Amino acid sequence: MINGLIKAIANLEEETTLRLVREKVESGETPLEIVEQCRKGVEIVGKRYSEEIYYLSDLIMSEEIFRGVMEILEPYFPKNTAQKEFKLIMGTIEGDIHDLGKNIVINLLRSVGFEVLDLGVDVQPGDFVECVRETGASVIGISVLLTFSINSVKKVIKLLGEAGLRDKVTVVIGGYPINERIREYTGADYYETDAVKAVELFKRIIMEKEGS
Amino acid sequence: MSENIQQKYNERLRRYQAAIALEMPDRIPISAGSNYFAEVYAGHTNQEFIYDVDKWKEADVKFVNDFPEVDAFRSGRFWGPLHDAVGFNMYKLPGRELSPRTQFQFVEGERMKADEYDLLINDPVNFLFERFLPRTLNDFKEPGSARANVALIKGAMASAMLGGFMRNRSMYLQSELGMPNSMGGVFLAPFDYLADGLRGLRGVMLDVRRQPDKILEACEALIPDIVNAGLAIADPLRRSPIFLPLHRGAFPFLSPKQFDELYWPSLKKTMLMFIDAGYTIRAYLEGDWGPNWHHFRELPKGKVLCDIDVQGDIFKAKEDLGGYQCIAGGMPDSLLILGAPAEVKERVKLLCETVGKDGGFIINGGCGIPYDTKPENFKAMLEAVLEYGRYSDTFDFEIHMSPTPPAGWQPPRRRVVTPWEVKLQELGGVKGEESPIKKNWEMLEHMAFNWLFSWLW
Repeated sequence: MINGLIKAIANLEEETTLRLVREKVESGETPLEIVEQCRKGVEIVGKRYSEEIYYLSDLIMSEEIFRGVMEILEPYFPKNTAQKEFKLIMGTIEGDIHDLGKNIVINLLRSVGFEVLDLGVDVQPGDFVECVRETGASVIGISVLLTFSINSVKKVIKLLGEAGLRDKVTVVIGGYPINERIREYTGADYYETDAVKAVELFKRIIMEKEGS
Repeated sequence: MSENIQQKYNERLRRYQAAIALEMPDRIPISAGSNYFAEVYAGHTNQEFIYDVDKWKEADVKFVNDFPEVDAFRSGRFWGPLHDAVGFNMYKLPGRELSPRTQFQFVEGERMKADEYDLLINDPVNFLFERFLPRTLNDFKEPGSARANVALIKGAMASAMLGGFMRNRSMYLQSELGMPNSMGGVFLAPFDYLADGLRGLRGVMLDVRRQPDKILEACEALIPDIVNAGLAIADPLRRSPIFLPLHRGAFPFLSPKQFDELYWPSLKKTMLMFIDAGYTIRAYLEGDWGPNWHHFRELPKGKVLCDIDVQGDIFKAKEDLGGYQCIAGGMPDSLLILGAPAEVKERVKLLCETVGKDGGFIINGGCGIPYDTKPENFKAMLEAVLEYGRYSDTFDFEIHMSPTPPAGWQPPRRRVVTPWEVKLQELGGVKGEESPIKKNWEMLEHMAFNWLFSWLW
């Protein structure tokens, strides 16, 4: 069922969205219920993006609207939230400070309900591995926009091997210069260059892991 | 210049210019606008190259001597000390914030706020001094302070020095190595000034939805200053095209409708003004321009060399732009970096037999040759062009070289900070001839404004 809020987000109507969220808060809907509707809206945005109805400017707008919604809801969330279970670690590789693509993918992943741990940009190869150890996450997404940094991605895979974690962890690399040749060179498991397709890929990987 | 070198220079320039003009040269020209590979090929780190201009000559000499088949060439144009003099925070530099062996990187930021469009449009000098520069130049955070004043003095001096270095380098390339510049001078699309240095990508993308009219108004207002700033550093003899790196017009940043309405009209107008001034343009279609590059058919034929990036389909580009504009590219970065010479030759052969077969094509990587290209792959690319890219032994084409603009051309209005009329009034008139005093006053005022404007990107 598509209600007004889902539709407002899907159509990127910023003012309507924020007004509806405020009304819903006042009428007693829980923040989780409201977030759930917003996520559905953002999912439609993602779908429209993959159908080339929407473009990057629209994804960024949806991110901005979602941010505005979370700002309104922030005070209403229960204070002591339980430890989050991160399934996914994301970061831009060492030497590279691009974060647009990574942030869009993270936003889309969160909007479909995944907990994503964002390590930021210029992430050292060892930090990815350390993070896997600490959180038990089994999927890593590495963003790489500079061909210069490809060897650092290769190093992540090597370090995972040395730590005995390679079999447990699926590594996905993404970013515009990535192709099958580069994936093969780095030893990563998958690659994707499209944000929405990347989210589908992550979903598939996680479903397989949970199924097994 | 020895006769032999002069001959070599002319041979290369003719080949390069002929291809851009859609004439048939003797073979497919080889030219990268940005030859990153050449910066590090001689063994220098990226930091050394950016901080020590003496390394430029060493790098250029080694590169040209080892790869004489290249027809037009340009490597880095950044000089770290200029950035440091003013604390320019739009780039991270190797050896400063980044490891000495990596490439410089652009730093996203919102250096103009959403409500500052009117100020930018109506009073750019005030906008620059009061808003933009304090956010962009770390040594100019407190305008009026001694540190800030000295930063401007240092910055202006460093810019003049850099201008001298670039000129000397160009002269050396021409007279000692017989190598033309692949580009001279630079400008951006009006929309990209907003999207890169001013509002930042996120800011501009939100404005696309929230205040598109302001974007249009600002793009229009920026055009004359963009043209003047670009002409100030372009090749005075109009031999080399002016560099136009195109950023946010790529798929999938804007929808086709947004592109048509917000990106293209002011870009087209700006390009036409450079073409009217007697220049050609080398446009980097960075990212995937497939859905939008058909617009380049609207411009005069053979005036805009379009570099097709690795995300674009070079074969489709030929289909869409063939007969309208020359295209450059075709060599995937990953092939140059990770491939083997035999694969490289195979790729060149394919390009020569398809996109290159009837002219209008220059071989290159995706807008440049990557730093970490394997030298043996680069060599293989050149050898393969000689083998498969030949059209004929001789060809007719006269080199285009002109120190003056076409008859009747007028520059757009030139901005100054303090108009001559104000100065003249303060002086209470002049006792001799007014015109030489006025002319030079205005020239330096105009240069000062161009300098301020140069920090927008």
